[in-house]
Amino acid sequence: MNKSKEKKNSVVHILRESDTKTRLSCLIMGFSDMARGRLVRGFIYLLFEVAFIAFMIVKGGANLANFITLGTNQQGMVFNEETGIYDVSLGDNSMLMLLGGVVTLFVIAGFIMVWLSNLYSAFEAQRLKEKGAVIPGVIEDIKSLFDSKIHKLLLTLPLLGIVIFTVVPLAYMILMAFTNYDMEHQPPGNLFDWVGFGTFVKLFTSNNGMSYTFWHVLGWTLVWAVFSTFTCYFGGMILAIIINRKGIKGKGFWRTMFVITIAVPSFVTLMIVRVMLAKSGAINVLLEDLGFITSPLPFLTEGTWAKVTIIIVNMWIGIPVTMLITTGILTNIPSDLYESAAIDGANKFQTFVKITLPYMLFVTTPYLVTNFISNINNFNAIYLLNDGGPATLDYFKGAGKTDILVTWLYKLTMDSRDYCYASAIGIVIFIMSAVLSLIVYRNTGAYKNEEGFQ
Amino acid sequence: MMKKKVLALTMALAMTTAALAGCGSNNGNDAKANSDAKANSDDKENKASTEKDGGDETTDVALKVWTPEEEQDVTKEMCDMFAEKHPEYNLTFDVSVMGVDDSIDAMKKDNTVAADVFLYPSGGIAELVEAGLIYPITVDADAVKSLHGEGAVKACTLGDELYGIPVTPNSWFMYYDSSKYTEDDVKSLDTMMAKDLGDDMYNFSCTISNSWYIEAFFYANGGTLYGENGDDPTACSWNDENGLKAAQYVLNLANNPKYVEDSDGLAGSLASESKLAAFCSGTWSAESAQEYYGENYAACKLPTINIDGTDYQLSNFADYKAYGVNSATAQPKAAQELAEWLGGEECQLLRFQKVNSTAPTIPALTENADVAANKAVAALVLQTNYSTPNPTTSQLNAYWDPAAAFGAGIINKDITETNLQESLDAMVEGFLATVATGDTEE
Amino acid sequence: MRRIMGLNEKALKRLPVINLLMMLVLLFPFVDLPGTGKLSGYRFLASMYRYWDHGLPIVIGVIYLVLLIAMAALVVLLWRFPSRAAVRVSFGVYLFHAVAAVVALFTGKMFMDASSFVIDGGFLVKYFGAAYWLYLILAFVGLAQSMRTMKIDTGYIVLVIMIVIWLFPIAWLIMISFREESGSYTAYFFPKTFTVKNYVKLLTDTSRFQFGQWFMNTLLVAVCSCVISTFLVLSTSYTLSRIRFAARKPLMNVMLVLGMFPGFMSMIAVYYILKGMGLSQTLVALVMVYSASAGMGYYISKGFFDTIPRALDEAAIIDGATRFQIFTRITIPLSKPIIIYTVLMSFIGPWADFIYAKVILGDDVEHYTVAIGLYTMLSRENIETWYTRFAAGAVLVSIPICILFICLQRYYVEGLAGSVKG
Repeated sequence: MNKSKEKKNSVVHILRESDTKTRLSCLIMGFSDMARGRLVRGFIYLLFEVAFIAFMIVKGGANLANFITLGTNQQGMVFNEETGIYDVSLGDNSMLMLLGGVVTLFVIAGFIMVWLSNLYSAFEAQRLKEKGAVIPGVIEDIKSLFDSKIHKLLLTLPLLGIVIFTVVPLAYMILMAFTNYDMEHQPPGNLFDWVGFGTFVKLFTSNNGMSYTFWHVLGWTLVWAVFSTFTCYFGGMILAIIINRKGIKGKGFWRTMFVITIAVPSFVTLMIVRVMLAKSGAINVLLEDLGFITSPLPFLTEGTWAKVTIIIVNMWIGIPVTMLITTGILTNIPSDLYESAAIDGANKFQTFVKITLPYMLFVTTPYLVTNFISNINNFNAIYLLNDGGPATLDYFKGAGKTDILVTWLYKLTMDSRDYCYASAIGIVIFIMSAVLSLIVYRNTGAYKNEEGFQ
Repeated sequence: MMKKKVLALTMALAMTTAALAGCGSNNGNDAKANSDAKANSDDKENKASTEKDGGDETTDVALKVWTPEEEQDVTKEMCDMFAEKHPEYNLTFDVSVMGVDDSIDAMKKDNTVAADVFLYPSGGIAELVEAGLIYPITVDADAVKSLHGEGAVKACTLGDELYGIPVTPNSWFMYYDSSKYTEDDVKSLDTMMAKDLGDDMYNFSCTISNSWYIEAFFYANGGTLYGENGDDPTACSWNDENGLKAAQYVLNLANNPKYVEDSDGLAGSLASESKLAAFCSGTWSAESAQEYYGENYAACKLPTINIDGTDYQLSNFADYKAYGVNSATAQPKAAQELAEWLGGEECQLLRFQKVNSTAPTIPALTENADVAANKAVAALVLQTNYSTPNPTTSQLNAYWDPAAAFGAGIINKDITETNLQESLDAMVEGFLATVATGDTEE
Repeated sequence: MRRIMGLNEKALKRLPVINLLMMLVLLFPFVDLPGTGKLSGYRFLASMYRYWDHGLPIVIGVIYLVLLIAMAALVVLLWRFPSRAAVRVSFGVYLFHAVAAVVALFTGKMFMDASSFVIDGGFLVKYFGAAYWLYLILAFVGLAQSMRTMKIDTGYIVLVIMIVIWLFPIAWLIMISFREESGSYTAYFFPKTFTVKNYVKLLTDTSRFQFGQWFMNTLLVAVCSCVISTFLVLSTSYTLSRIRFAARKPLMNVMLVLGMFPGFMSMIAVYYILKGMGLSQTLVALVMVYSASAGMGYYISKGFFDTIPRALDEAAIIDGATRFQIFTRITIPLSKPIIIYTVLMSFIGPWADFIYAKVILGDDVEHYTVAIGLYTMLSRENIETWYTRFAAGAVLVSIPICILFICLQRYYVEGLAGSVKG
């Protein structure tokens, strides 16, 4: 889309060029279409308008007002002498008002888009009429949905799902960071209110346990993400290379053996491994029985041990997956590269460093980034294995020594219900991941040159 | 541009759907919608019939009850009995499964669809009241107060209001192997630890790293959490001189090779292999403890600990499982009556007989011969006399994590004599911290 | 030295050297007990006359001697008369050494504690002397070298070791599921009694956990949500790959980053949205939660579609096919691997999620999924009685996924490989 074309389609441009019927469509949606013979289309637009106005009158207006105040009416209880029980006077529920406001804003945004679409359609009808061309009817419209406009057909449902189940909740969640929805402001008994950036200021800078904990947890989150990503990546790649070697027979068998470990849901294996690694767990019992140690190893109970243990256990989970993913890619490496390397007398290690690794890194960068980000958000490995423990008095609000941001966030919402802080942490995670991944994706060949590799 | 248009259309459709979806949820704060959401069809019938009957004959009442899985059947039975006793109501019940520990979370998530009458741990009262989720029980409150034991009533009271009908103590005591310890031995933890039971035998197990357990040591020698009455969010004496002594005791206990820290069911496993002579748990372990120890199975109140030559009784939180009434109920009166019935004498006895020997809270029942003969229940009931009421401030929310961290620090040997006082200070600081002020007052 | 076809000369020359080293090592102290002193092969041989009365030392001694003689013979054989058979024999000998060394590591304590060389506090692995560690290393080096001589890939050694490590927890899980004794910890490794009772109880005792019902719920949710997800992912990625429209690139970027927000806190919002739709506490709601946003995961399958030649589409357009027909008749049939990949991935989700499911389903126990049930079995109150049944449940859950994975892994690999060609 170049700029001049966009300009031609701008609202101002259309309004300047359009006739009365089209202009009337701004108020009575679908008017131009109906007046020019596209009855069904015009009627649908009109229906949208009516539905929207009805919604705004019945709910939307109030929702918006509530969204701004987040409730003014606190729940109360008054003793009723007559019945001998309290009467509950229900107050406003700030949480639902916030959510209702978000939904209303999305409805308005949606309506604006429909309105614009109505204007374009009106203008198009006007143009076609001026040219004396045939205006396509409903049947043609529907047919075009299966052909030239197939993206509208195919994208409708996926986008609908994403908007309702991801975007709306996300907006709600992000807005929560700008309120004081914490332990002391729990609905429905209490109201919470907008506080602007106060939450972020406390989280980042204030000289108290909160910010200390935040920066430390953030640090470990990054260390964890780097280590867990690269250990699994190289481990899986080496495993795949070994299985793919010419001399190895029964490739399917070996692969299947490792695939079994993927099939067991990871929360089950993590809970099993958790018990195995406990002070009196199977591993310690075994090691003691075999004479390797005299006292149990603190796999999960000592900070540094726990960190290392978690990274190793994560390798157990991650390596087979990476192995499967890299197996296919390895077979794509052009074999002439290896042949020429063999002629040059390169040994296995040199071949790996000079040919396999660069190729794999080049091809799998997006995977690596995705993996890095999913490790930043790797709730299961941390929470199920050790609850983020060992618990420590150094950190504020229940964070343990191996807690990463996302598990701490979970504890904040579930245990202390400081939603505003959890939300602020969520935003930090999001910005980190989004920036990183967009930078990387936009620089991959796959993004820059989509048509290039067919 | 046509593409953009239809994309827009798509989005708009999405919005509308979302909006319609949102409509229902926005009603949550509306009293009428509230009761509609509850038990819609029943309610409508209810209104119709009250009008028809003029309101003084029978009222249709639909009540939802939350109990844990194991109490489902007996609760249904009790509900039917309740229906018989209240001919003035035309009752329909919905008895659903909800774990005692999960019910507060579920109430907080959405109390408009939650049960009218729900079972919860009394330690959560402050949290529930703070969030406006629970009804004060005023129907025949005086009768309830005189029926139940003093401790139980106190645990269910906040301010002057009663917020729950106690059902059973939700607390822990000690199981032991009577071939290893005599009844005199188990009176004192120091006697127990000093006894030589052989190489392959642990003497005692507890869960120091759990904040439901560690308080017993600090309460023992007079420590206070959130002030004398547990309602002062700015006070805790656990880091004073006495607190330090109690902590020192915990430290010595944890470092004693004859002590084993229970977690993920370790104590049970050790007991089943005859490697553990005594462990702390609640009535939920009664059946398995009986299995492990066979005819030597015994239970008793917690032992005393000796600090500076004085014996102090271990004193855990006096938590009770209690039936509360949802503040969003459409039938507050009937719900309160049901809660009182479910926690009443008849039902407590029935529950004792049918569900894993649930301990009663009514003094008349605890003296009942059957009840007294049940070792675990007798021990639990006895222990409640030595327990300390849960703090009633909602600041209690800040207690759990630092206390668990302190316990874990001791168990993991991060906390030693050298940094004991320092750690105590940090723990207490954590107890008193609020997000609003930041956690320190350096 | 004669040349032998099919054998690696270089490695062949190393074999007798390693063999000689091992013989040497066998004579040095194997254990280094504090106080008692060193215990080595030659000392053992020298003091053998003291143990005539005992049976075992003689047997060991004889084996020791025979071993040394056999190894000496092997050195000569490999040096003077190298042949395929000789290499095979040496492979066997090294394999024996390797296994013996590992077994010694694991049983050393048992034997030492049982023998007359008891020391205070029992034997520890750290009392093994340098000779033992050298022996262990040489055994594996020799094994690798003889494999190399025969041109067998040494990767097998690594694979075998890795498989043992990787299958260890799985084997343990299966073992627990058949363990008669309840409880989460045992002081011994192998169960004392095996039983199928855990499975029977799990499926028949529905008083607390309706496992059978929950299993069927999960299966239903998994099947439905994987059908819907697959549909959503395919239509999104096809459109993004093939159709050029105005908002395409921004849309792709936005969808890519949307999934990076931790979802826990939006759970409450999702719950209320579902409630607004009148769907909370239903399996339909669960299916929607798992599949509605599937379109965001377009990345991999879009990569795959990008590799399907556009020429095919163009040819079809010339033949008068509509875009929709191209999608259903050409693209989809060519995309079997990526479809299977998507199906697999979305099928697994519902089996492992207990957080979302719990929030959506609340107190509606009838509609629970297995993951909630399994997780509840590990709570403080349940773990003692239910741990072994938890393991049984976990095994049952893993079986369908396992079978699917084993059958379809080929496509999984192809699908992924195809999608990242650039």
